[in-house]
Amino acid sequence: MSTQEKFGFGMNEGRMLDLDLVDERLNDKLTQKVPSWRSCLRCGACVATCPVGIGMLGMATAAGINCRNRQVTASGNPVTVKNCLLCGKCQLVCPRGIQTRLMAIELMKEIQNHAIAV
Amino acid sequence: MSERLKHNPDNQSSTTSHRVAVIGAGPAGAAAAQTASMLGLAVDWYEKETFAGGKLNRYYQLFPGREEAEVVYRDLFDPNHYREVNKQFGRFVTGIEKQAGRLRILVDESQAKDADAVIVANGFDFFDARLKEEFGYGIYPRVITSPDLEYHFKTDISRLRRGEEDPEAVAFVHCVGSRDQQVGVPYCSRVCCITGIKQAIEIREQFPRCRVYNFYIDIRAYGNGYEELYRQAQEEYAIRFIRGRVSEASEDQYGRIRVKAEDTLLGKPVKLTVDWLVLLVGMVPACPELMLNGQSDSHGNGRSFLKADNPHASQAVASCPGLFLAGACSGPMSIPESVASGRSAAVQVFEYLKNRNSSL
Amino acid sequence: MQSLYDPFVLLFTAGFTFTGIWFVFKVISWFFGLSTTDRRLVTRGILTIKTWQALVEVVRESLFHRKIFKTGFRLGYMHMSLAFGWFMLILIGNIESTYYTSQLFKPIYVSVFWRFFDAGPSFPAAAWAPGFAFWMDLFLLFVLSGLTFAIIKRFMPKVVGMRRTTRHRLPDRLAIFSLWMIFPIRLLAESATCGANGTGSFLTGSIGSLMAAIVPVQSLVLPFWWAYSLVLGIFFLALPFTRYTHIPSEAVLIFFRRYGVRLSEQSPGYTNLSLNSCSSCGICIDACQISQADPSLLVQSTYFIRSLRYKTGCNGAEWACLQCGRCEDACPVGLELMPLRRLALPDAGIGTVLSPVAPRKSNGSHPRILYFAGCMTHLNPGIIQSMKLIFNASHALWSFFDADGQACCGRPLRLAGQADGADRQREKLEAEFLATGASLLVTSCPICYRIFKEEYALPGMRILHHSQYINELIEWKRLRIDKQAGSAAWHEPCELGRGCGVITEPRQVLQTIYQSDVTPTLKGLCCGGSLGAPGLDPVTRKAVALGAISQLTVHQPDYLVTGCPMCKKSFLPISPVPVVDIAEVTAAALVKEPKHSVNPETQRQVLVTIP
Repeated sequence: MSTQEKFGFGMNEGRMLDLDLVDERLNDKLTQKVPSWRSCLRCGACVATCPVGIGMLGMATAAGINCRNRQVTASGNPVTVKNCLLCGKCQLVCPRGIQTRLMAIELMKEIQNHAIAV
Repeated sequence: MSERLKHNPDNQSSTTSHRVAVIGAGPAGAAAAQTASMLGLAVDWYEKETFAGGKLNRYYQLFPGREEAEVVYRDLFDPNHYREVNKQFGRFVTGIEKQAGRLRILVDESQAKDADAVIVANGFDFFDARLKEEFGYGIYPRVITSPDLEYHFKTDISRLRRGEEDPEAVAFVHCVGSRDQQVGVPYCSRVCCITGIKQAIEIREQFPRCRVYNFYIDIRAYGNGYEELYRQAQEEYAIRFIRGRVSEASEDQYGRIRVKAEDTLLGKPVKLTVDWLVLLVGMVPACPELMLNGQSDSHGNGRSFLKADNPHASQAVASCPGLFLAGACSGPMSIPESVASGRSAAVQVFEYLKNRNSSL
Repeated sequence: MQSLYDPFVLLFTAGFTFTGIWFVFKVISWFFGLSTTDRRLVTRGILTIKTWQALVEVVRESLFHRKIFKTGFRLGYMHMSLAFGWFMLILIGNIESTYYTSQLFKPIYVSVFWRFFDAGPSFPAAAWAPGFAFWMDLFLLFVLSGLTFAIIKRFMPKVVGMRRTTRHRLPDRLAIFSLWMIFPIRLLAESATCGANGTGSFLTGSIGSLMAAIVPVQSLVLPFWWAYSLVLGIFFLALPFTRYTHIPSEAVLIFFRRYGVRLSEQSPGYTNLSLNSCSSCGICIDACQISQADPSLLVQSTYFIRSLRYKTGCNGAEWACLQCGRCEDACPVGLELMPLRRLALPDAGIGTVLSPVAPRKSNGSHPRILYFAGCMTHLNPGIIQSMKLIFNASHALWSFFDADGQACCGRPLRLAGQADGADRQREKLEAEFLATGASLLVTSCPICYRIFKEEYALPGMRILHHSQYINELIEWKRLRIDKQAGSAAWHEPCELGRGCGVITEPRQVLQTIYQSDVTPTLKGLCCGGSLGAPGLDPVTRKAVALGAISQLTVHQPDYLVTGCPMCKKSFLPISPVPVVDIAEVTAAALVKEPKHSVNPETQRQVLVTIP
């Protein structure tokens, strides 16, 4: 790469989401099992209410579902579904009533199958 | 239309024999009654309160132009803008019956009055914020709703002070009883976003050192001038908009409200303590008592907005000829939309009666 | 002496032998499928009173179907007449054949087809014969009357008091058809024989003589007996592949259960035995609220067990059960349906990694009472506020355990079949509780309460749901209540009532507070918000909730009172009457005490005060 190509302003590559590199297969598989997941507004109520600080949004980000990039984590720390207690508070505060508990179980199964890196 | 009236006095006399009932004296009802009377129809105007104006009476300033609600009220209810109106204020309409081609208005349980056409303009109710208990409305004194705040502004905003001190922080929660499957309100109430923006600006004007936060899911600034006001709020009034829904509220030892939310754009959780938490409540259908032939078109919690048969072109209810809808009884609307809807309903009634006359 | 053999018996004998071999093989596999501990329970139990108790239970349940009688008389009669009637036919046949042949040990078909062999000239009608014939006819009539109900039930379940009955698989329908045919053909065969010989009692005798009068009855005897043997053979041949495995399995289950065996991951043999003991009677279908909320969702235990037994896959139904336990309550076989479901759920390893939680701050004092609100209660702050008022009004030395750092009890993981995660969570919280040195644990969440009661080892610590605690405070006159106007109905949360047997205490509190208690008489209903069903959609949940509310408010109460934050959340948005927690109504009914009456000593030790 020449220095000329690197010149100028650009996106922060560390935070960049490259939508050209999206692998939608996992996303499709999971949203087929939990269709209500597609209606997520990314409002974050689930994360805020989560007793162990994960929430479905964090899980999804970790799993690369909505962000569509497997490498991205919520806040720099690897967020792990394994901490989930399935307590269901996220499901109650969710304005769309998403079946978050089922999603957690399905996500975890994918992690066990090594389809998702955590 | 009015020009045609002037040129054809016969037309006028033929329609004055018709009676039109307008139910509700909010902005939509006022516009409908005004226009119908100006078109030469005899209007019976029902209102459950003894005064006109509906919820407008408790509003301070109106979005997006910040006009005083009182000015709008004076204009809408100016007696010079009305002809032949029989005010039936303080009378509660319990139902509408269809009998031999005429409609009967049932008033206060026992009385009834005939009408050739009816315009329903009974408006809406505010969502009961106690149903979203996690926000603590009705439990914590410092959690209020947007209509509560509007009334404080109209009457005495110093109630928000603590002794001599201005409030330090105020947060608004959007979509309380709006777009929420959990409480059976799947639709968007449309006007709460802009209400939150307007009230946030008013708080900053009143208490310049107060920090104001808006927790939103989406900002739906759909109307003319709304988006401009939103930008103004951010740029000029330094109101902080956080994309994320408040999940729950609790009270600290001083009675202030602590909220938890996730800043979903930063991907970081936020915790915040405020003096006042304002819930921007959505609009829900008004009381279901208004029934047609003993039937109400309701489901779930027993309430639903009334439906016109062709919402694109007409406000008439085809299943019941002569019945027309105006204002927020058919769905969430702003005041200008309600007024326009009321006027249009009155014109449609006029046309309906004229056509019926010529066919007879 | 007439030969006690005819070729037609081979059909029956083949089928019966097949089932017999299958059964022996199954019993061995069930026994060796038990864990070592469970196997020891069985071997040590055999020579104790438990064997006798099991025998009594087998007679009571497998023959008389006492529990089904509790569901409905006609349904119970139907099951009892078929089981007990058939048993008596075999028993009397056996006694009669033994009496006449003086052979104690003879092929089983001799007693099954006794009327055929009995009719020969070698056994002249003795003084006893009419007596035997009468009893045999009576029990055959008994069976036939039950059969009539069974056939009607297939097409009109309402007749026997059921709204819906099980939709069966093809092999089951085949078996049920052969079962239906057995007794009418037996009637024809016996009648033909009796008609030909001029014997028989009021039923076979009269039908026999009628037949003899109109047809050459002698030529019909053998074909009828062949047909009878054929349907018996088909039935027994099909038995191991159909729901009728429950007939022998249930008896074994009763014995194992009496010896103390329970469902566990370590005893797959007992799980298999339980699956085989389900008779697909369909009583669980009416008990299930989802049957009304969404009839297309075949989530009920009868279908779930069938999908496990034949390994056909659950199609998502495993995640749609509310786990309210109503079917378990109604099951006439007494199967452990909820644990059975949880064993079938895949372990996804959730909850096995403990999240780092900040260590709890100790303020040096040792409270006597720990208040554990529970995760869900934090979404209903009205309950917490009320509990604070109640604790302080009763001058309790208490501490709010999960005021800030919320902790999960592990029950949600248990309900989702994540056993390892649930155990880890329990161990962690157990240690935290014991470290406080408190002697009483009060919780506002029935979900937490159930796992605390059932699984937590907390020596020296009493565990109470807040409704029980409030009831005690009222009984001890630690709370002064102002009688409130109006009426209230109690909604019994599943985990609290059916799950933990807390039934009377909340009702007593209600009766103290309100003028009238208008709780309808019904078995506890699910609010639809259950944590048991991660896959159930909000629409069905709402339908379940609406159904429950309509039943709970039949007497038009002014308030619908519950004791579970989850139930409150489910009901609140859709209930026509106000939904309140029992803590909230108690707090609202407290006699307002003047400030100075509070002992300043006590007040200082109160850890959380109301501002």
